[in-house]
This record gives sequence, C-alpha cells and structure tokens, in this order.
Amino acid sequence: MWSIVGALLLGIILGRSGLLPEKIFTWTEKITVIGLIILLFTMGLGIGGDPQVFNNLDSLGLQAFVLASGSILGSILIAWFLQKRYFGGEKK
Amino acid sequence: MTLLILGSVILGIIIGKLGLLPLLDASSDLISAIALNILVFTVGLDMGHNREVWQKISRFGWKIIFLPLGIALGSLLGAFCVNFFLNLPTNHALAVGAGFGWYSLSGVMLKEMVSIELGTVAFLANVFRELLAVILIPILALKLGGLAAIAPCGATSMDTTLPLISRSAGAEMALLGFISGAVLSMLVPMLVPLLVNL
Repeated sequence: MWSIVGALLLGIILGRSGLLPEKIFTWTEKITVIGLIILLFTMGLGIGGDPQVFNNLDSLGLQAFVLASGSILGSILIAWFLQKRYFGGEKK
Repeated sequence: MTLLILGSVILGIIIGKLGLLPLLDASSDLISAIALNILVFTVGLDMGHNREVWQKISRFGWKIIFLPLGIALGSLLGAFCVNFFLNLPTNHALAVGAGFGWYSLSGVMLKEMVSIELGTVAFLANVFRELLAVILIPILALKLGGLAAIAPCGATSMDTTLPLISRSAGAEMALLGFISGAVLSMLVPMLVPLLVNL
C-alpha cells in the first residue's frame, strides 16, 4: 500500500514541479485509460474465474447497495446542514 | 468511457468464467500490481498539473472547501452507520465509502490491496452511487437546494454528473459541483489506501 501512496505523491510532486515537458500530459490521460482497462479486465477475470465471488454476486451487490445508500444519505445530510448554516440557506 | 469501463469488466468476467485464459490468470497478479502503480502515478501527475482547480477555489474563497470535506465526512459516516447491518470490518466499509463514486479506481485499488470480493463491492457500490445520484439530483435540487444535490455525486460532480447539476440547480451550483468533485477526486487515491489500513 505504501508503494501506491508513494506513486501518487511522486506523481503530484512531478506534475506540479513544472520539470516535465507539457507534451507528457497529453500522454497521461491515455496511459490512465489503458491502465484502468487492464485492471478492470483482470478484476473481471477474478470475478468470473472465482466461483466464490461469481456465485455471491447478489449478496456482494446487496452489500454494495447498502454502503452506497449510507454514503449518499450521510453526504446529503452534511451538505444540507452546510447550506443552511454557512451558505445562507439559499435555495436554487 | 462508461461503456469502456463496464465492457472491460464484463469481458473479463466472461473470459474468466469460461476459463479461457488460465495462463494470464496466473500472471495477472503481478501485471495488475504494476499497472495499478503506474495508473496511480499518472493520476497524481494530472492532479499536480491541474492548476485550474486551485485557481477556481481561491477565486471562490476557501469557505468552499467545506463542501467537499463535508461530503467526504458524510460519506464515511454514512458507510460506518449502515455497516451495523452488514458487519463488514470497519476499515473495509470506510474504504468502500471513500470511493466517492469513482468506481473504477476504488474497485481496482481495493481488489489489489485487499481481495477480489472487496474490490467487487467497491466497484458496485460506487456504480450504484453514480446511478442513484443521477436519479436524486433533480429531486434534491428542488426540495433541499443545490448543495444537497451536489452531495450524492461525490467525485463524479466534476465530470459525469456535472451536466445534470447544471441543468437542475444552475450554473453557479455547477461550478461548486466541479470544485467539489475535483477535490473529492484527489481524496480518493489518498483515503482509500489509508482507511483500509486502519
């Protein structure tokens, strides 16, 4: 996990430093997309190839739905509070 | 992009299910570990390079930073609370909540760092978050106001759900949504590894 945090920080520092030629940043988006596709494909392989996961997709999906609902509800409550308290309560 | 993401996962599931690539399966752990580090590195490069967001924030005043921080806190608290029904390890529930709707990144990170099960839950939870956000934005904008409409979007309010915020809550809220989504996007690759290692 520290290698991931390290990779992220290194990226931020290098990106901010201005040391890299602008040309590189036209590439980063493509590399990001290719990296994502490889990783998502291997995640799919893992899901399909592991009966433990594939046969439990419904219960994993339910857990996911409950967590998503909780996150959404919590964030709406705090944003609503911020709106009333600090942003003048304006309705738009 | 959405189609590409879902297509990659579904193609992987089909090939994995049919057992067509046993060799690739064995070496995929190393490949995906390397790919994740490269991916996170390029995400970092873009974050560091993107000065536009910081300029927008300073133009708006730093008070605006409370919005994404509040959304982040609410997402984590919400995931923590509903986990009383699920009984997952607390750090796992929090890490899924810290995906903030960025399903591709949070899914692959947790798959690499913990397990295929947790990666799958994170992927699905954050897909659901974006889908539910799309349904909720117009309703929330009408009933509770613009900030509440930005909240469910999480990190997606800087791209995929931005047009809907703009249409339902107006241009000013769209700008706030963009800033909020950008800040939350930066938090995802930091918070997910930190929380899961609590």
